[in-house]
Amino acid sequence: MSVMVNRTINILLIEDNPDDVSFIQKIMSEQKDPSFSVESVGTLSGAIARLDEGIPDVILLDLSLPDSTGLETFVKVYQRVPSLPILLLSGVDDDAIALEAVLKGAQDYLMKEHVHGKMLSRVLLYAIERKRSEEALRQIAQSVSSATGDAFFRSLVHQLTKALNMDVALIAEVSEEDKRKLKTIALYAYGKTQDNIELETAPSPFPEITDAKVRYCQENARSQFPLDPLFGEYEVESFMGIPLFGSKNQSLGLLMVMGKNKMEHATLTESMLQIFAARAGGELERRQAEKALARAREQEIAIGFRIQQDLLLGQPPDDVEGVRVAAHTTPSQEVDGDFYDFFRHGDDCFDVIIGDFMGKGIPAALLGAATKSHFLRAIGSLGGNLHEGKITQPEEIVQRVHQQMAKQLIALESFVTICYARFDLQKKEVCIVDCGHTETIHFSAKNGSFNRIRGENMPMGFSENETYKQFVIPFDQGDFFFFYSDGVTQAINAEGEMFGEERLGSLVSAHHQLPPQELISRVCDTVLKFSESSQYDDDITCVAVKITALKSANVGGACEMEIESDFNQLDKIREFVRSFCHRQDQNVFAQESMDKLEIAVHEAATNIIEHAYEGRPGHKIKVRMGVLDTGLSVDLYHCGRPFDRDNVPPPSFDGSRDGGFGVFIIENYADQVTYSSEKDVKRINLIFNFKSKQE
Amino acid sequence: MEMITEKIKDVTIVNIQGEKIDAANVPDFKRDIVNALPANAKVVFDMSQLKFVDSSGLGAILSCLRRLNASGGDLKLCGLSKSVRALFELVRMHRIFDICNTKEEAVEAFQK
Repeated sequence: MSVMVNRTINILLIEDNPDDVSFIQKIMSEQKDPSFSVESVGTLSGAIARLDEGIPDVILLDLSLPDSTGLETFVKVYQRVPSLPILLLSGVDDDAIALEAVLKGAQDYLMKEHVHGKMLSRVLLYAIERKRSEEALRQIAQSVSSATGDAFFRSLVHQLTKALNMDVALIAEVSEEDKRKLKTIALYAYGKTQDNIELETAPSPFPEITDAKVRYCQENARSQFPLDPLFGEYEVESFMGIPLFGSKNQSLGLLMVMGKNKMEHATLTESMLQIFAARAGGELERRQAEKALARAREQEIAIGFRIQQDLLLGQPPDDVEGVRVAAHTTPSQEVDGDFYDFFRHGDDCFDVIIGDFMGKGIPAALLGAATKSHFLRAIGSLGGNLHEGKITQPEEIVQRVHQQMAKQLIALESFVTICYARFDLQKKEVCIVDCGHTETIHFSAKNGSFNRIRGENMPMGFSENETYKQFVIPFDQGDFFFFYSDGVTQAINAEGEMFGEERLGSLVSAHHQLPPQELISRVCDTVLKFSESSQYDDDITCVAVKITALKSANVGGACEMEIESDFNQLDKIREFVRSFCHRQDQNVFAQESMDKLEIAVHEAATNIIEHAYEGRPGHKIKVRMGVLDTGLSVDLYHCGRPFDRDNVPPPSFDGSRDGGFGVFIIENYADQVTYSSEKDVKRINLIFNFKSKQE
Repeated sequence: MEMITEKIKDVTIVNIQGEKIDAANVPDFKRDIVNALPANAKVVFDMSQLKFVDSSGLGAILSCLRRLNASGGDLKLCGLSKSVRALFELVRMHRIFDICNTKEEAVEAFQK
C-alpha cells in the first residue's frame, strides 16, 4: 500500500548467530524501494526489552535462542506483539515446529539456507501487507459487530478508511421515492463523519455500481469523471465502489472508498469491501424494513384513533331529567381499546357501558368496536320494553355478549373488562354487572363518603363457562358514580407509587359538588400532576354520573303553592312550609330541622324576589314540596334572571357587611342545593335529609 | 315597627315588638330603630318576642352594632329564640355580638 512505498521498513532480527545476522543485514541493505533497516538482538529477553522501547514493522525470529528454544520462543514474542507480522527463520531440524508456529499466527517461515535478498524483501512486504489486512479486518469486525443501524454504517465507513488507507468512504442508499437517486446514509471524509448528501448520479460512476457492477479506478479518477462534484470536493484520485444487495438480490445502494492517492492493491481492497458489503446490505435492508414498519405503525395509530372516536365512544345522554352524565377520554401515545356507550330506556332509565380491551392498537380498537356492536345487538335482539315492565336485565345482556364473544376472545388470547350499569331513577338504584373492570367509585351524598364497588365476575375472555351476576346499589340525590379505565388508578408517580382507588375516591368525594364534566377534568389534571408527566402513559377514560334530582312525588303527596314577587308574601311561604311539615309523620322532622327548612326556603324566595325579579312586583314564584325516601324536597320555580351562583361573594364574618348571608344560610341549612333551568323556567331545588335522632 | 325602650342603670333596653324581622319589614325596622338608639350609649336589644329573623334582619341588627360602636357605644343582645340563636351562630355573629340570656344578664355584663 502506498504508505510503505516511500519509507524504510524496520526489521527486528532476533538471532543469536552473528554470521546469520551479518548475512541478513548485508542482503537487506542492498534492497531499494523500499529500503530496509535491520536491528538485531541475540536473546529472547533482549528482544522483549527492545519491543518495550518501540515497535518495528516486522520481526524475523530464530526459534533457537540462548534463553528460549522451539515454539515457546514464538509464543512469547507473539504474545508481546500480536499485531506485528512475525516471520520465522528455521533450520532443517525445526521445520515442523515452524509450521506449527504459522498455524498459531506467524506469517510465514523461511529456511535459512534458501534466503536471498529479493526473496526476503518480497516475503517481508507480503507478510506486512497480509498482517495489516488481517488486523484491519479484525478491527473493523470488532468495532462494527455490536453496532446496528446508523451506528453500524458510521462505524463501518470510518473503519474502512483506516483499514484500507483511503481518505473517503461512504454508504449510499437508493431513494425509495426515486430509484435514480442515491443518498448517503454514512459519509466519512478526511478524519470526520460528514453530513449526509444526495449523490449526483449523472456524471458519476454511481449508477453503474448500483446496477450491480464493481467499479474501481486506481488513479486519475477525476479525469474519468471530471464533473462529479464529490470527486472534485475530495480531490479523488482513486476509488472503488461495490453494489449492496438485499436478501432477494435487489439493489439497495453502494459502498465506496476513495483516496487522493493512487490505489496500490485493488484486489485486496475489493476483497475487504466484499466482506462488509454483505453485512451492510443486510443492515440496509433492515433499516428500510424498520422505516416501513414505523410508517405502517403511525398509520395504524391514526386508524385506531379514528375507530376509537367514531366507533368506540358513545355520546352521553343529556336529556335524562334528574341526572347529569359526562364522559371523556384522553388518548395516550398509542390507541387503546377503551370504549364506552350509553343506551336509553325511556325517561327514567339508561345504561352505561364502559370497557377496556387488553392490548393496544388496531386489534384492540377493532375488538372494542366488535364488543360494542355485540352489545347493541344483544340489547336489540333480547327485546324488552321498560314501559311493559319487562326489560332485559343487564346480566342477560352481558351473558348474551359473552356467549358470542368468549370463544373468539379466548382464541385470540385477548380479554375485555366491562362494567355494565343500568341507572333506574324510579327505583333509585343502579344495577351493575362487573366483568373484572376497575372498581366503580360511588359517592354517597347522605353519608358524605364513598364506596368502591366491585363485582365477582371475571373479564370476558377468561373462561367460556362464566355466569354473569348483577347486583344492585341504591342511590340518592346528590350521589356520584365514577367509572374509569385503569389508566387513572394505575398512573405511577416518581416514587413508583400508584394513584390508586382510595385517592380517586377521596378526590371524587372532595369535589362531589362539581358538575360531572368538571369533576372529570379535575381527575385528569390530578392524575397528570401525580405522574409528574406532560402526557398520559395510558389512556384515561372516565364516565361520571351525578344524580342531581330525584322525582319528589314518589313517596308522599306533593304540595304546591304560588306567591307574587312581594316580600310581604314571604310569610305565606313559611306558613306553607310549616303546615306541610306538620302533615308529615311527627317523628320524621324535628322542630330544629323545620326551623332550618323554613328559613332556607324563605331565603331562597327572598333571593328570587330581590335578584331574579330585581324587586319588581307582579311576578310569580311557585313552590312545590314533596317527600323523598330520605328527606324532603322543595322546588322553587320562577321566570326571572337565572341565578349565577359563581358570582355570589362569600359572606364576611367580621361584621363589616350587612348582606351576603342568604346563600350561605341556604347552602348550610339545606343538605343539597341545585340550580337548574329549563327553557324560561328556573328552578332552585333544596333537599333536606331526615336526620337520625342523635343528630 | 314599635320599639319600647326602658332604662336600667345606664343601659338602654330596646324591646323589639313584633314576631319577625325579615325582608318584608326590615325597612320599617331600620327606620324606627334609628329613633330608639341614643348615640354614645350602652344598648341591649331584647329580642324575646322575635320568632323569626332572616338574613336581612340579621344585617339590620349588625348595622345597629356598627353605628353604636362608631359613636363609642355598644350593643348586646338577649332573649334570642333557639332558631334565631342558631342562625346567629351559623354566620358567626356570636363572636361579634355579646349574646346574653336575659336583659338583666346583659345589664350586668355592661357593668363589668
